[in-house]
Amino acid sequence: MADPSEKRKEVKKKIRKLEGLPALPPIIQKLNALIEDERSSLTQIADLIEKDQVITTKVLRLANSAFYGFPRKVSTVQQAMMLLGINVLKILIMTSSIFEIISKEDVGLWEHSVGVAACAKILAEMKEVSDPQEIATAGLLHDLGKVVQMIAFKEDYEEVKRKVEDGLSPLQAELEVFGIDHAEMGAFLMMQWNLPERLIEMVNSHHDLSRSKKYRKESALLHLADLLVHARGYGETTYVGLPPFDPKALTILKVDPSEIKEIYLKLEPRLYELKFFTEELKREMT
Amino acid sequence: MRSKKEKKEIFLFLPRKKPFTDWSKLLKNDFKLKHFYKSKDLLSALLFSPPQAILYYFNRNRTVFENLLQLKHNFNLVSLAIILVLEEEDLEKLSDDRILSLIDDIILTSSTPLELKIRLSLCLHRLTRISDNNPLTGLPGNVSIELAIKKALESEVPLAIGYVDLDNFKAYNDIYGFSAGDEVIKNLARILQTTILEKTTNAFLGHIGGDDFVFIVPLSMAEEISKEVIQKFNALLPAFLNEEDLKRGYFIAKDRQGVLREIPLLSVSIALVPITKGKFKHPGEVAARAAQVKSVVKKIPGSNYFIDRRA
Repeated sequence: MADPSEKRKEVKKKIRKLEGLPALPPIIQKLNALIEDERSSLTQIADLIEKDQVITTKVLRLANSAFYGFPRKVSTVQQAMMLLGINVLKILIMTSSIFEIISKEDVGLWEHSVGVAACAKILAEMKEVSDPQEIATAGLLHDLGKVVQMIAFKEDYEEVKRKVEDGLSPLQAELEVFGIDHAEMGAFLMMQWNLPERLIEMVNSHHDLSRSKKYRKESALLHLADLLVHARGYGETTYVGLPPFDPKALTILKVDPSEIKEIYLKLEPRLYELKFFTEELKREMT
Repeated sequence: MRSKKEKKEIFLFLPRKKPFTDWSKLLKNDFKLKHFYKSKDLLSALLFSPPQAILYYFNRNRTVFENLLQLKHNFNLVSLAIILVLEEEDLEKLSDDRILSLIDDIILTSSTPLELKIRLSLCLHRLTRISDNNPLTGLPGNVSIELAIKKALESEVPLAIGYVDLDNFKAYNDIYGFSAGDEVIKNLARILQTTILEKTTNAFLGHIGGDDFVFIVPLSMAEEISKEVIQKFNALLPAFLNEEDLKRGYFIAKDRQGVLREIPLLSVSIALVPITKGKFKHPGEVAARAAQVKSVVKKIPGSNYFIDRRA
């Protein structure tokens, strides 16, 4: 087996050179149709973009690029679109490459991500953490590192899946194969692409709260949202059961276990709505 | 000998054949060249890391060419030189004034490598020399603004000139520093640019300097554009304020007398002066009228626009 610390360097080197990530074909088609339709509003377009972590990252990356002058400031699709405008957005979508092959279970990751985004937003509103839309963005992007694994490290990713089947925990399997876990991989890519610090810290610490320094509350929130969506069973990740949970998150957020029921009551209708979208997505992917 | 880092970057979107292969052989001594053969790759690279210049073979995909022009226009990429490479018989296709206003030079495929190299260098020098554009935002500066206003005074279509500036920008600069202030200005420039370009192509946007901007749009759209600019500015503002100021809802800063005071947060003011043919004779008259309107709009707290309804 390769030395994990060597592999870690190699992985980071490859991420640094990553020019972009491919998006899901049906999302690109829908976006094109929406943009071409003059009746669509910015909000409608933003709503759709916010269902795909790859395009969201791309839009944020452009709005935050030092060249255009807003490094590390723009953290929601709505804000980014105000700065970029429809004309530039059109060209941006045009330059998106698409996933050639993606397995059906991998699409489950998209579903999981929109679920966590919805749950994180609800938690932010309940606990009055600002700004809920930004928190939702972090929820959407939290497993970006897994997308990177699927695209840039296809064989290693299969190896991770095999190790998980053999009974290893997903994080442990990633560490053995890559020397770095998906949380850090995603955060590292977001750093390369100048995304705001708060988003990066949340993504980086979503499985390990000790990694959060400045944004402890936000990180705890994402940690909890990820658990709740796993527990509800929405979408698919490498976790068959639940990811490890740090109960400190509840203390930091001042969430009483009795409140969990209330969160689920609010989340359920949102997931129901999203299900229409993700089911259609899955149908079109196969 | 120049080091590698100083070399200017040039994108080439040219077919893989003669004479272009000879061209790049010579150019690569002086420039950092990046070849593109797929339009997607070209546009993506233009978006995320624009070069100093691009050599674009005119006969390649016209939609991509349109997109290239769009990008240059939308992002004020004045420092991106577009040099069209074309066959002699295609010269007549270049009568479109809009294309000519966005490209920087042309070169015929029959040119020698040396000729191309000199043309390219000249073009890059010219860009740094004659630009009246604001270095921060890339928007046209005072000379162009005056010309645009003069032209507007003669327009058959009723127009409105909008004077845009920020309220309490001095306090913001004092508290957050000049580079943060610059970011807010770039931000405002982008909002103005995208909002105006989404509505109409018959428009002008200039940067007077500091936090002062001027736009000229059809009168029928002036209020809608102003409203949208204000709405977008307010939506983005939290990204530029620290949490303390945001929660408190005002700045604490020294006023001109050096006394600590509560100062309202940043907001944007727009003074609109309608222009119909013959109403004003000289750009100075418009500026004087705008100053009056501005003093009204500045008195209203928060972000506002005000339209001068006097004849």
